[in-house]
Amino acid sequence: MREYSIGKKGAAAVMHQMFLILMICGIYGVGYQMRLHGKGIGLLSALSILGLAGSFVFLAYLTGICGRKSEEDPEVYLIRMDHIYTDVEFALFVGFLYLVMYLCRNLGHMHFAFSGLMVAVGTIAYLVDVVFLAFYLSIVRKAKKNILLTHSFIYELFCFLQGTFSPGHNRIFRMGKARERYEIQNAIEAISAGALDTRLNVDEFHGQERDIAMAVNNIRAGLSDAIQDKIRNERMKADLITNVSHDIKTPLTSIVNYVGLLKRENLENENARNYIRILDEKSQRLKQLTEDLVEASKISSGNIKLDMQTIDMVELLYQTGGEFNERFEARELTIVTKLPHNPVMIEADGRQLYRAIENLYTNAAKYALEKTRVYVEMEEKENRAIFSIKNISKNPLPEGEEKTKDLTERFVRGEESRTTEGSGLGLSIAKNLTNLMGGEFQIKVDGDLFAATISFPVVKPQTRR
Amino acid sequence: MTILVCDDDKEIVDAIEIYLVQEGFQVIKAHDGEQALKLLETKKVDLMIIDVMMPKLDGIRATFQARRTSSIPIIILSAKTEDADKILGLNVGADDYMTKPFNPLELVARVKSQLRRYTTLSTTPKGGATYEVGGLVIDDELKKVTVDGEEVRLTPIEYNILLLLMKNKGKVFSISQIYEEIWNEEAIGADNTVAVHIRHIREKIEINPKEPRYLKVVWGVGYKIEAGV
Repeated sequence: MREYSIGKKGAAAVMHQMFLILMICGIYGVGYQMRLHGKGIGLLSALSILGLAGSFVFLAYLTGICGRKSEEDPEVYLIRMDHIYTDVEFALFVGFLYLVMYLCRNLGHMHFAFSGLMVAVGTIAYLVDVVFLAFYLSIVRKAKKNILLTHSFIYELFCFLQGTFSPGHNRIFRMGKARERYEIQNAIEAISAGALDTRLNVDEFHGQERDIAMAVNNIRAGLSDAIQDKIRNERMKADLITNVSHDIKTPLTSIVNYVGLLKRENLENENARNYIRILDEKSQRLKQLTEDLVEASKISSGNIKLDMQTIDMVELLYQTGGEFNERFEARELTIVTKLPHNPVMIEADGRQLYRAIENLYTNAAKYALEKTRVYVEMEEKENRAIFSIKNISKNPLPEGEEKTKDLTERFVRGEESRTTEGSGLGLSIAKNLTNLMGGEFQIKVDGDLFAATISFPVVKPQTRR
Repeated sequence: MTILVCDDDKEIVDAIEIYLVQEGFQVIKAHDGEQALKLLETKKVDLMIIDVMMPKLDGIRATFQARRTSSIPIIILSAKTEDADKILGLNVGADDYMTKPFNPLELVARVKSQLRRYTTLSTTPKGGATYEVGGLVIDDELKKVTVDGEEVRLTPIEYNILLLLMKNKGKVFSISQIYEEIWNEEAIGADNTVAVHIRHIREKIEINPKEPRYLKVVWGVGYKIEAGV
């Protein structure tokens, strides 16, 4: 692999400059000698022709390799100065030449010794050539990259005017690369904010920006596919669970009905009556399980409709308390309620919030230790309505953050055995419902103390409209 | 009284038959929608219980077609529990909707309730101080509450709460509003009292207190009597 290293390019440039200086000096030398005594004209002419040839050869070589990194790599690499607009570059170069000519206009009237003239001419030729080379090679690189004309101020101005005055376009006062970058940035921000239908029209971009725009489009497409897949899978899962549970419900209906009939048969046998009682309990539990399962899968896939209203959380908690007092009394649990005296308004679907809180109350009614107190509290803090329910668990609870988190996963219960009532879906349903409505759900376990918290932002009456 | 029971699962039909026969009803059985419609035309039927997912003609279509010629009460039974399914069923002309697996005793209660409303209640004379919603009637002169023609015994406080809500059908009352109206005292920091009374009323007047037809809970707002049952 032949590399076009910076050293090689530098050497070629230096060689080019040396030959060029040789040529210029030769020409001036010929002129000088002709005015004086005409000695050595032949030699000086030969030297200037050699200089011309040499500088041309190295310039041609430089033209060939500039912008390239190696023989194998066809890519043209731009350097920083190439980002200057072509026409601006050109104007700068012309200006520079004019400046040099202006500075040198008196040089012809000065009397130099031959060696002095050679040094002056050589220095000026060197300086001019450095600038020329930079300008020329930049032009060559741009020509190779096909942006010589499009990357110019006049072209951009033209495009901008066209964009501004043609209907349907509403471009902000941004131009060229900056505008392209700005559009790419906008697209990336939109995509990261979740607008996965954002697409960049690649034809509108040039050079590096075009590559970036293509890459952004690819990322968007990949992300969009992944999310579509995820949604489809969740839906399929929810549908599967719904369909399976429909199929389970039909035979279950028969079981429930016939167990009910058996119960009315006035059986003499004590054992038979006991067996029927068990069948009755288990079939009821199976019924509860299938219903909870459908609910949990619907809620976790976000497949429910919410009817968000401004409601009073205090009222809702009194209503819930009224539904549960006898269930708590049956297990000799005392509810200690501490609620604010004023209404606390939040934005939620009352029916679904009740279902979430109902699950927490049911949980306490089922798993709290008999003859203990259950604390139901609500406070308004930092513009949030924070509801909490605390109870002493009948069975040891899992310790540690990870295991506590597991409690809100489907089918996990504080106790490992699966023989008692409950589907293990209650906390999962409560958590997902709360989150769906924009609330926060938390569980804390400290020894036997179980605490669940639901919080919602408070809606102030004056901001309600 | 003859009841047409239609479900493609024969065992479910048989079980329902046993429960209904025990209550003194006659039962005709069908196993798909077409069969049910034919039986409706040829026999005298007082009430129909019909499943949704069935071969040939499903329960929703059958209900829709039956409603063109018949005004008997129709109860839909379905494994579908979505609100949308219930609304569809009630919109095509069903009078009630029960989800599977159902409590057979609740089904029998609903059958009786529908029949009472269909046969007797439509002729009940209305007194001056009578308020009614669907099968729920409160006669303020006799201080009597009946549900589908059957008397319900309420305590004085329960009665007053129900009367307040019945007089203002569809209006939602908060706990403190109810407290102030009934106890004639300012509600300073409410408690569960009103909510507990409401639940007791619901347990007395509703067939399934968890899915009330008349006394609805508007969570986080209050309680109301459904205006159009």
